Amino acid sequence: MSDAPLLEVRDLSIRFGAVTAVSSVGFSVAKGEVFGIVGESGAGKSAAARGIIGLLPPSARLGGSVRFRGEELVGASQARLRSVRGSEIGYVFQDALTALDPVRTIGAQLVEVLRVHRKVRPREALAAAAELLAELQIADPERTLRSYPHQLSGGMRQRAVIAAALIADPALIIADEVTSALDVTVQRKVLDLLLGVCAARGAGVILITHDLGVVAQTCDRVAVLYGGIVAEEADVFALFDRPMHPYTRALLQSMPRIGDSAPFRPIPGSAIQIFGELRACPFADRCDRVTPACRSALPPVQRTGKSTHRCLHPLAVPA
Amino acid sequence: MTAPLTTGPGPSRRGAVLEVQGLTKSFRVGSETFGRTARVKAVDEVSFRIEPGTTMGLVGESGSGKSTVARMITRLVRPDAGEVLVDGHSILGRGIDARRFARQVQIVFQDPTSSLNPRWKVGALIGEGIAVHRLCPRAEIPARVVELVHRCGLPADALDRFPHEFSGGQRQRIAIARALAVEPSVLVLDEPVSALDVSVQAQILVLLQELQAAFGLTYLLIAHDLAVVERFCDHIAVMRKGQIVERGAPAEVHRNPRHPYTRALIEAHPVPDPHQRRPISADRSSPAGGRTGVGGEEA
Repeated sequence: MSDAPLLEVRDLSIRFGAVTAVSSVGFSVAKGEVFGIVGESGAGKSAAARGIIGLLPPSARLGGSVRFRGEELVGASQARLRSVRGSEIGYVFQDALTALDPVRTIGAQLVEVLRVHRKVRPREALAAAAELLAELQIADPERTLRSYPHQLSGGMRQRAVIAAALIADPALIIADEVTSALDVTVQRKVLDLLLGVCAARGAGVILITHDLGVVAQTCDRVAVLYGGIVAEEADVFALFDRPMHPYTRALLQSMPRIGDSAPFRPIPGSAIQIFGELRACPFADRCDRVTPACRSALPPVQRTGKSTHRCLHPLAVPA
Repeated sequence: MTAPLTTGPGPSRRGAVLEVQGLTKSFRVGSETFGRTARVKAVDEVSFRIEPGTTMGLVGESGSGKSTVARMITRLVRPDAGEVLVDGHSILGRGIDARRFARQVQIVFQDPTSSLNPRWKVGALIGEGIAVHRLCPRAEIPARVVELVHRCGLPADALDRFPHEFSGGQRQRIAIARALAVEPSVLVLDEPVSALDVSVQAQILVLLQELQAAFGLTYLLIAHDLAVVERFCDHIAVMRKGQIVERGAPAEVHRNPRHPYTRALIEAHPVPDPHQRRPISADRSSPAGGRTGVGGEEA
């Protein structure tokens, strides 16, 4: 990959009152890379992603460092963050129906992005919007631009939200569970289109999902989040072939695959909510390799080559 | 401690045959005020039969009519035509016999947050059906509820707590216990795990398998995840636009799908293995008409 990372997150922590959503999370995304963040609900995926672009509610406490093209975003002014969002980092929201304004046409909402961030004339903005919709394989772009969100099907609506995130040509796209609400057949199509357009423009992508299948099919690198920490970060092949963290392995095993008739293998227990500072491995209560040391301190980040993990008893000893 | 529920009489300690014949339902769509209504056939002449103690999976995209089938079988939606039979008895009529057999069919919904009354404690939620159907003397209800809670893997102190105090997986266990309370022989499972996390999904599926083994329950599983369906079901039926377009043993359907829609469904399933990656190509032709059209869908 390229030398300087597009986005570098270090020691990011997010708290909502007493609840700790994210504890010292670190990862970096290179230009043109598809970086997956995978985890269950409450693992801190969305909080981390929103923290990066300053979209958290005012009550949230944010610590650590987020560097985008060398510029520090934590503590940046609201005005600066507003200009970064949309023009340099695009955010695709999960629920297309709430992400779009129901009383304005798709065209008006797309043009607005360009008018705010790029100072383009309305006519040119509309032409650019139509072009992007065509690139996203919307059959009749002009008609879609005149439509209101409720007039479109779920897949079309999600494409409109993607268009709104992409239209100002950002260098990084954060896609937060973009396809979870869609049917499988439409899911695949929308993901392919999103990643295809990003690849064509050389933009980096952070793909947030709970679906390991989606990760395996699309990502270059993956961070597995659990209880607000990065349990493991690795190249997608390394992660699926030789998981280091017991949670990663358990997650992979709990997932049914087509053509595999082995019995279901659930992970016992359920995810916990973290209050205050994290002083133990968050997976300790569900882990089959747990020792007292796991409960006495948060395991430090261990680096091997380009991978990291946070486990005192990793599964594979790297060569 | 996995002794099956033995308390209480009732004919339903074994599975029953669920048979559906020519089930049809259409809904009116569009605005009446502006006089632009149309009738959409949600379910069109659907028939199938599930043998006692077995599971049939019903797969299809949203809008294919699978949930409407579930609702008609559980008498939540009245069909325009067709019959639902439990052990050969119709359950759609108004007579006492129909009601008695209708009790044998219970449903577990997708989202336990909205299917459980948030103001009721868990004990009351589970016990309600027992009292309504007068399945045992009132004094014995608490003991039955305790047993159900235990059987469904919930902590003993769950009874005095409210649904919001539980995680999604545990809420689904509550919903299952509630369905089991009235001693059904057929359970309709409408996307029972799709709102849950992957690691918890497997827990619920294992519980459902245990309950089926213990009570010989007959399951109709409505799902969209083919990998889950393959491992969980004895038979599978694929629905599209209100009709069953393909049916068979799950492994057979996966290996050798005959209908183009089934093929598209299998192809679109994201395989959790980076070595089996299908290349990204933005111009890949759309899988046999996923519901993506702008035109045609609109009123």
